Amino acid sequence: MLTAGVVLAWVGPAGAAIQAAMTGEPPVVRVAVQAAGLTVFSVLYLRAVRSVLAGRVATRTVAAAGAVTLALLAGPHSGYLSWITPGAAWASLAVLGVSTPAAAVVCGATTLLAPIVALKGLPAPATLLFNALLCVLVPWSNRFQLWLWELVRDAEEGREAQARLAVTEERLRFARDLHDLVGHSLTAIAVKSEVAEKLARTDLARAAEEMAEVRRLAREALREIRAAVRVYRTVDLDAELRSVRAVLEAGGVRCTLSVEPETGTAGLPQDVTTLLAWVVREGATNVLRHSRAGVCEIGLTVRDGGVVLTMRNDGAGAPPGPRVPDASADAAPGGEAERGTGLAGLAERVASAGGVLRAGPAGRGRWELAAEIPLRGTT
Amino acid sequence: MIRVLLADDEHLVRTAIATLLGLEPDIEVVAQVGRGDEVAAAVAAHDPDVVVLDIEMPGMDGLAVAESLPGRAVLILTSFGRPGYLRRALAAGVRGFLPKDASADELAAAIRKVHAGGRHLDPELAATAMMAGENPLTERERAALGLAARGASVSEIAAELHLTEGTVRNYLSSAMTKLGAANRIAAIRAAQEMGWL
Repeated sequence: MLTAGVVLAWVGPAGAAIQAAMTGEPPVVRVAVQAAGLTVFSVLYLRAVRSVLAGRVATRTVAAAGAVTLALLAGPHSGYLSWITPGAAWASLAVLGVSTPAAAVVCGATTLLAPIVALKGLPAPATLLFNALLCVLVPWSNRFQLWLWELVRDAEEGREAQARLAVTEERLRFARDLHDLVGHSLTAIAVKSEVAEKLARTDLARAAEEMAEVRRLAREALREIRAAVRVYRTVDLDAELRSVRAVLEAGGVRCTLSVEPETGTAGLPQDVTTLLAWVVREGATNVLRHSRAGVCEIGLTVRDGGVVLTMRNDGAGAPPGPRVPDASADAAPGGEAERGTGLAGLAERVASAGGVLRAGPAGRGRWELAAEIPLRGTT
Repeated sequence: MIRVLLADDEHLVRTAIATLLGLEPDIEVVAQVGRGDEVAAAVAAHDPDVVVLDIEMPGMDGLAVAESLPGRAVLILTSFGRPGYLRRALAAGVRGFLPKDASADELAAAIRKVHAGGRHLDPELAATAMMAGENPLTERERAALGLAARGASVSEIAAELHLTEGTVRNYLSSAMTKLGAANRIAAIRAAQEMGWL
């Protein structure tokens, strides 16, 4: 809209030309000269506006536009319209990007000098007033628009800078975490493997012990990285519930899902939804792993003081209850020991959130996993 | 003797696993391939009892390979479970899902179990691979696709969401693009399977 000055510059002379043409004496040469001058003015105007938007005041371009305007004013014209609007147009360009006093001087000078140059004498008070009105209103509205535009640009730049900063911070945090996690284990692995390499020539039994330790360290590092990666993922519990249902159905288990209230889990704190997502995934994994279940019912109820998640399946008998963490893995044929995490680890996490996790037979061949987590400070 | 085919593009890991499995008295690694698109030919040539697949492989990913081997005992061995993997694996009839750092004993036990018709899922890996993942759909796209899933026509969706029909079509087609679906039905199914609707 800063370019409105161009339109303004043309309006007056064009109006005057049309008026002159209608009264019967088409001033062809004059109109052509004026049009040429206005074209030059327009080009200069647009160029100056572009540099103002880029943060520079193009003093020379503005001065050149001023010279063209002066020439237009001093040249032949018909009626006050043909000189008033180019003058005001130039003023609205010259006030961009300069201080308020400088802009005031520009407006005042244009108001007074334009009629003097154009009429080669003092104008009538009414003409002067009209010119003053144009030379104040248009330039100031132009300045306001520029100010607004800069405000929006600054806000956008601020947002972008903030986003970049957030990304950088996140990267730094991740790099730090990664180094802390992996750096320590990898150092230990390097040292231990060297020991094993040396021992391999003299003491095979001890070399094997060292290698076993290397293996343990490497697995631990992997587990820690997995846990870290998980923290960086956000959880949409409703989506997780549907995803789990899709997984169970893909595994041949008919699955029903009931969420109360129907508004779903929106508004639940992030740590609670993350925890519930883990419960529901663990429950589904166990249904797939252990039971001969054909049906699984998942229910989630959000009430004033807490959330209750239940998973019931018809494959009771096979699933184990919470067990003491056991790192020996389920290597034994038919053995179904949890691998250190599983329900026992989950029960601990639920307990640390102030909740309870229960798992056990629910009668009539059904097995139920239930987690109840209190909501503090939120309803 | 359980005859096993091993497919993994990481040469070191694959040969190490093959060596460890070879130490088991009842397991024999009959073939090893380093590319997903070489699995089918190797399966045809060796007719293994159990196919052990990595997911990320050149040529063809492990899940697509599993989909192309219906009825065969397949076990997925992967480093990290990505969201949505488990559903695809189970839908393809995969019965084993194990991390690559599982001990040789555990892997052997899983192969035996899968060979016997059972299922073996690593709980931690399975839980991660079960995740819904980031929903790529915007609120509007989700709303439009959700109504389409319930059988609403474009004009009905437009009326429901107070949008023009053109805008609704735009939302539906951007949802299709994001889900990599060729048509509306496929988009609805893909979004439902991932839990994004």
